[in-house]
Amino acid sequence: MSVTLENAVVLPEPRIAVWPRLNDPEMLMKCVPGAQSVTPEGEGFAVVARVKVGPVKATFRGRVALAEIEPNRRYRIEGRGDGGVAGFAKGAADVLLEDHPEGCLLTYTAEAQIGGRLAQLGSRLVGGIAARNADQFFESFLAELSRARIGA
Amino acid sequence: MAVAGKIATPPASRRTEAPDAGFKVIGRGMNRKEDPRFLSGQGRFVDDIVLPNMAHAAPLRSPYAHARILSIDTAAAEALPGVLAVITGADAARDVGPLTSFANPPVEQRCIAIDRVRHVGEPVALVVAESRYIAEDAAALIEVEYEELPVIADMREAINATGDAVLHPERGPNNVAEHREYSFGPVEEEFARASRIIRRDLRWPRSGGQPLETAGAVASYDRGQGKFTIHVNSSMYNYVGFTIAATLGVETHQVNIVPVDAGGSFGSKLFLHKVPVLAALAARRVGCPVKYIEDRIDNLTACDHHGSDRIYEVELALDENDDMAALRYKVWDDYGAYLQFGLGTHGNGFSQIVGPYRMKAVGVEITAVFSPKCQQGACRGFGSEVTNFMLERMVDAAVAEIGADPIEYRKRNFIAPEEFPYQIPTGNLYDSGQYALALEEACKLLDYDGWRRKQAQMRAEGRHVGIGVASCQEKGVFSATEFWMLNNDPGFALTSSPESVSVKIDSAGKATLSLHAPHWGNSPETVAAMVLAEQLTLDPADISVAYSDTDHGLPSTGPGGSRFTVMVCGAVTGAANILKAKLRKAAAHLMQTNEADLEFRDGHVAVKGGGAAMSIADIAMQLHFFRLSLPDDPDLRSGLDATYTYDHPLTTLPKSKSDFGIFYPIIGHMCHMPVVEVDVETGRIEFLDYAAVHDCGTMINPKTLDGHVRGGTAQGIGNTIMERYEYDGQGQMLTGSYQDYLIARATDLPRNIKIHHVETPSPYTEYGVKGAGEGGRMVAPPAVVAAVEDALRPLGVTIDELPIPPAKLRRLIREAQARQAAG
Repeated sequence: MSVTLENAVVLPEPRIAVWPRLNDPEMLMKCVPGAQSVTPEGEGFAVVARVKVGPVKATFRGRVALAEIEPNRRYRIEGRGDGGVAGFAKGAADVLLEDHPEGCLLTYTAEAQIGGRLAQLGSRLVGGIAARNADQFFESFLAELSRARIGA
Repeated sequence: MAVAGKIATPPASRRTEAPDAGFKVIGRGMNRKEDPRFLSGQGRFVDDIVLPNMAHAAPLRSPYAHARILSIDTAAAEALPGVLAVITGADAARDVGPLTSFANPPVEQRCIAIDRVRHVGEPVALVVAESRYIAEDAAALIEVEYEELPVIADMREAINATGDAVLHPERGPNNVAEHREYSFGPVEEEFARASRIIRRDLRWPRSGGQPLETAGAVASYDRGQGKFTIHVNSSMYNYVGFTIAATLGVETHQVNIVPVDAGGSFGSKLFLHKVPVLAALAARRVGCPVKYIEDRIDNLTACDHHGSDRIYEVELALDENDDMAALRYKVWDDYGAYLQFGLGTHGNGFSQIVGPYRMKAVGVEITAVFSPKCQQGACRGFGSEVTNFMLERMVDAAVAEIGADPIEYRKRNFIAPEEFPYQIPTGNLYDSGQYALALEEACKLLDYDGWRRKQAQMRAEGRHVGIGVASCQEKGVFSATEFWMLNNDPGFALTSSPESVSVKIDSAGKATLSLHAPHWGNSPETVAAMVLAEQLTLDPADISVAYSDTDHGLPSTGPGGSRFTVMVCGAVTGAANILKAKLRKAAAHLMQTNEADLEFRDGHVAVKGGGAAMSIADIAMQLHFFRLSLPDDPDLRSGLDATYTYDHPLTTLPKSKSDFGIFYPIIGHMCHMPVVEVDVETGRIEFLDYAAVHDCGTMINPKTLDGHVRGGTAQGIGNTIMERYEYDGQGQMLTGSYQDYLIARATDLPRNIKIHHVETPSPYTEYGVKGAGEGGRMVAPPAVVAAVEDALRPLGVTIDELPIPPAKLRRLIREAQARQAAG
């Protein structure tokens, strides 16, 4: 089954400051909910994340590749993760940064497909969980940005 | 070509027992013999089988609907302490062959996928370990590398499958499994002269039997004997159990299949192959007994027994009087990844395709497709529940279009009692029936006229109340001969579908009766004991019932296809007649009288007219231990036992693809009338009343029969209002638990299902018994839909697709309201 997420977040930093943070494994490690490790690999990352959807708990190992990169402006993230007996997830997201009076506006459109037990047991839950995880990511991302600013 | 109508020379009947012989036991509402042990937790289900040194198996299942298996790394799983073996498809293929398939040509299915998975949940490896916990933990350590293959999940797109999207390339260039056309009777002529043609497109969704207990097996392998013992909750093991031996690569006598109590089946355990083969394969591999029982996700995603999944385009031709003349339909059926019963579920429908109506011709085009989903198997009705739904929807459509009364229109199209035995266009025979009587009884039971008055009042109050009616057939006693004609080349061509019993009377005159089929959630012990008690004038409490394994088994097909009561009655009667002849002969000698003067009376062999009597116990004692008290006659050898194999009471060889001959002739009938109220704001359906009239011929036990009627009706209602296996466009199953696969609960059902029986005895079966196991599910869906449609008639809602959960019904109501608003 597939899940589609669309949202826009205002970030209090200019594009040029946000862009490197979006590509920083340490930052991602802190912000991706359940992330166990984020390791640079080619034009992307190898990610291990722990995910819980209803009764299904699993450690997903996957690869995230970045494509269609226009530095400081946009990229496309494509990824897939294997959760063993829990199933799999795969998807892509288009991320766009635009100027905004308060800093910059990040817009994303993501579409993910899940399969196996995740779909069998979590079909009604997974949309909500994906949206919550996205919100959590940006909450953490904002918090990290402001911590960095205060630190500077 | 079979000409529809009364058969001038009815086939001969083998019946020996009349339907109305002043029964003492038959017809009594006796408590089930099975109940004390089941209700006190003493049943012996497959999980109750615990063997010394027993290991446990758990499969790793594919998360993909369609993928190539590139590699499997089992090292980490094998290294886990407590793991005894990890078996991949390639490993398994060294020991076992393809699973049983009754399709011709067969579609190869393996117990563990070899290089390609074809549906979510298909096993890709089996772990055997000291405990189920370890086995499941180890399964999670197996690393499988898949290459995803294209998925075509929509059945109408199957014909467009090419390249890697084709699931079984050896069977053809696309995903069409079978495409067949049948013409029964003068189809073209009847449609050419039709005064009116009613057309509807209909959709019956995939659902399935939901047994409380899933499929399971405990297998062991004796290396010394080279023999398997498999405890499994399957039916048909004394019929086609040999195919399990064939899969395991041994001779039939090298597998003993031992029955266990089944915790429900509803068709889903008709013939289990994958589960017993997995357990047996594992047991031989690890050298100790192995238990494998599906968990709920296993059962929902990969039980091999999903029900029909069909799209219909139907035309009903009406003659110059607007009566039903002929039916023509195209049907697409999504069989899933494999095709174990071929087109069997469509052949089943052919047995009663014109329902209770006088129709002259039927034209059929079937497109059976493969899709990456769990395959179809048996589900209470075996496809005929769908044709019943289709036909009754068409009748209601005709009634609506010509402005007829649903009761009167049905009555005037019914086959009349004097027209039996009646041949339908497919060649099958209807033995007997009183359809108008059943309808009239249902009207009385419901107070149809009273409800119509109440409905008018309630409508005036703005309430949406509807009354439905459906009159449907329940084919009983399958013979499987129709399978010949479903295949292009005869395959799985057999003409036997027998049932055996063995009866042993001990020296105290009490009986042990062995069935050669399992307890399957029905009441075989009660029925068999009642019939034997009737015959021998014993107390049913003095009869115990046992179940034979295949080592001791005699040819027996087992429960399924509403056949078991009819067949057990025949077999028990046959065995009883052998016992009675011996008892009579011994008694005549012991009492110094003539056999002809003796009768059976209250547990005695007695001189007719109230004369001297000798108890069966005394005669049995003589027969067991006093050989020298009796003449040296081979008929009076020691002991008192009998075995009888009863063949199908009436079946013929198929004649052609347009005349299947007689294959399912013992025809029951049901008329259901629900009254529902629809809350148009929420789409919720509430039952205000429900009347169910069934005709299963002579009743053996009204109490267990009513249980069958109520349970089947509840299942049919669930199928109508909520049940559905849902897959997305990628072949992912979205209903892998009972949170998403919804089963009707008590609050969704009528508070009371009023039941009445009409008894039209079959001229062909002992006592005139007919089948009764599937009827409720086979009639409730069209009846309930008709009631809902009637409730929403002021809005002009029509329902062509099941199920109708509140959200769906709300959508239909909104659309109808929008249409009305638009004028």
